[in-house]
Amino acid sequence: MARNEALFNAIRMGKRPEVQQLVRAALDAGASPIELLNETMVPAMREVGEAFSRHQIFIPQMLVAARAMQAGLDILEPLLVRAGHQPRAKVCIGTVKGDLHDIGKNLVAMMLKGAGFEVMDLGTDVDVTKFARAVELGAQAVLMSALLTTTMPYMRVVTDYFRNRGDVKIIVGGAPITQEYADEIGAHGYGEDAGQAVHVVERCLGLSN
Amino acid sequence: MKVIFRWRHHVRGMPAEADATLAELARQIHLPLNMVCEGRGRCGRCAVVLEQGSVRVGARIIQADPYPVTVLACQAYPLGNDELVVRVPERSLRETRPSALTDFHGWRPRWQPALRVIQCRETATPTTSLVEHWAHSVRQHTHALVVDLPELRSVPDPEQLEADLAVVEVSNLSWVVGVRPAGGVPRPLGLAIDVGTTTVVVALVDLTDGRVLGRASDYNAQIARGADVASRITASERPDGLSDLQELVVRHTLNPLIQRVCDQAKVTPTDILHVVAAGNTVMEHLFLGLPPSGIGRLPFRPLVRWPWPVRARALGLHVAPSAVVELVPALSAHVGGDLTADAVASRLIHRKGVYLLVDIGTNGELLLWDGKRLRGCAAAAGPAFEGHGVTHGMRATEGAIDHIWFEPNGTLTWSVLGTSAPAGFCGSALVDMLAEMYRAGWIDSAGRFREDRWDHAGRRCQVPIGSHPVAGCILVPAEHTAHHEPLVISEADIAELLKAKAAIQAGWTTLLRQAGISVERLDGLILAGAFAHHIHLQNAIQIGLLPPVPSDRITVLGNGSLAGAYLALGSRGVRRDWRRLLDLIEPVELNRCEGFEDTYVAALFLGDS
Repeated sequence: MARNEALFNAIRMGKRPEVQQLVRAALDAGASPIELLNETMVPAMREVGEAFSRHQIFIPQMLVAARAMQAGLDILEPLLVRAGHQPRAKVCIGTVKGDLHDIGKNLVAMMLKGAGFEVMDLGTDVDVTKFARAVELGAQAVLMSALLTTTMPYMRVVTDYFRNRGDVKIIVGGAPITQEYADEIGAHGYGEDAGQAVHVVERCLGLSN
Repeated sequence: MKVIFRWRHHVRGMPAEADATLAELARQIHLPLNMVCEGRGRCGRCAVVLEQGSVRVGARIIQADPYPVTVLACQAYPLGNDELVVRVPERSLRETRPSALTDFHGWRPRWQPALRVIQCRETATPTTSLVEHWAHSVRQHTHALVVDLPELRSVPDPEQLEADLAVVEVSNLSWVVGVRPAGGVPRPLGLAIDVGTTTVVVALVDLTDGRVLGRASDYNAQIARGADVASRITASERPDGLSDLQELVVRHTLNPLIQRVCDQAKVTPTDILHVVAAGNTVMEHLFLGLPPSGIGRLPFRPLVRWPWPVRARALGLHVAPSAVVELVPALSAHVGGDLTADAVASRLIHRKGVYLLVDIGTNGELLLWDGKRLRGCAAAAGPAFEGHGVTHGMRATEGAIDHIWFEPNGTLTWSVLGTSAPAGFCGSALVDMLAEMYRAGWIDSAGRFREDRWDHAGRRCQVPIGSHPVAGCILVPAEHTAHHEPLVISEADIAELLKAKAAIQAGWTTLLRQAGISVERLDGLILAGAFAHHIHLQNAIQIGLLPPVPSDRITVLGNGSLAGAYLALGSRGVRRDWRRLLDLIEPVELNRCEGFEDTYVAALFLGDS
């Protein structure tokens, strides 16, 4: 199946109602949900992420694009499950204990879903028990976000907890986080912004696109 | 290896070591480089122009040849044997003194100070002790007398019943703040303090009539430990961090300010007998030396909202040692005493109708009063409107463009603070820029350039960020500027500004929605803080930073924090308002409100979408 250009552009431009309409129309016309995802929606989101990394678009446009993508995925997801679609990998994400800021975390979650990952979003104020539970349920990577310098020390608690679990990758991000801090606490990956998140997860999990 | 630094009218050469960054070298020669993020390479304030030679940034080698390049001094290591020439532009220098707002307007009550001077006289009835004699003299005013030991030890004459007693009557007690021989109490003075995260302002007040004898302001010396409240909390958690921060604000900031303002007024600091300070909840904790940790993370619980009055000597404050120091109480972890002060100064809860109070600093703090209920929240605006994270952003100081606009003939014009050539844009100009460029069709609702509208003027340029160039627009050509380089705005800058305005806009939109009030029902808007004092209100409304309220229903308070502290010196009744505000407040945690993210995303855009 060729790329659905109208849907591709609607995602890039962040046109949420249009995306939902086009996804429904494509499905009604008999398109395969898996193909729709892999041939059109994932490439559209990749394009958005790359444009962001090249400073051709900025946070406002990336947010609306990601939310448009999410709106399309909301329709697609039950169908994908039914069609036996296998996600590329399963990860969990959360804003660390003590912190409520989640807009950046939600954006990263949407970018990852848009790249074909299964994302368990644990929400905000997430403690080590919740992360551990997600890992038990199959998460291969633990993604943590913090917006406050006062809450970022909790990342160390979580990283220490998973220290001896070679099969779990720890990835951190958020406004006050730096590569140095990620190295210092022994995280496996650090994403400077939401545009890099997908690459970092792919690299840590040894996946290539 | 040698590095030559050029800044303002200085030129200084120094030997360079390969393992020291340009910022570290600059520190050695006391070059006042702006380092908001403490050299983490995050804030972009230490951008310098490499005019000659080469440096290493991470693994990259950057050369001045063929064109001078801008690098972050905190990330750049000198390289090679050539002489380096580094020019530090004005916007990357710390100003020695801030241009803080020291003025305030608003409610002026009948002057009824909390401090009274009571004349104790010989009585016919014998008294059992001197303190009981004082208490008897004071009793007609109130019931309990608090005398602290050092004050009692220094009584001028223990056998003399006749004395002048200065007492501060707050918290249902009479605090003795000075004992002098009869007729010996000089003009009693008070001090109002605005303890800001960035700037600290003091006003010296004649307590007999409420005249302001002088004002002074300076940067909060705590800036050396981080720019925002979160980084101060982190700093307070290091060993000795708390006492360090308390000394920075009291000994290194306030005491010199008190000396300065007293010198100007030709009075002595020890005649200051009553002090009231207002600040955000973290600043108030640090002023008292209290750990602010609980404010920094869930459940966002401060140690105290309304601290008990303390004596100046307990804080190391250079006024009369027994002077009573009060803090305007904080309403919650995120809605501080500064907002309580704003609310008192604007008579918020005495108003009939629906009023929104907005105090924009590094964070926006908002109060919504609907005649019965009071909701408050903080909005994480970040420092973009203070010029941080914007290519040519700077503080509102000498050389800053404070307003820009299009003339009717279409030419772009600007005004500058002070007499220098323009060196950058301060927040009020950045608000104008968004509004004017959007109105003129130069940017679309997402803040993207529509270059067809302006490229003919030769304004197109590129601003490098990392290895990728970003589209930029030249607003002020090189020939007009202080450093003979054009002042530009990039699409990345606009995105930063949109994020800051969206935080505030989503804040007031969400507060109104929580209260079930449509924006049309607002009876008035009250604005506090320096930023609101300088912006063009219509432009701020146009970009959505402020709700659409007719100009005649907008009150601009000025420094409401200082006003509220001042009022507490001059009106005992103010404390009843504090109590009511503390009882009424309903803190709103924006991130927990249904639909907040939708509101925030919608607010990232300009125009009515």
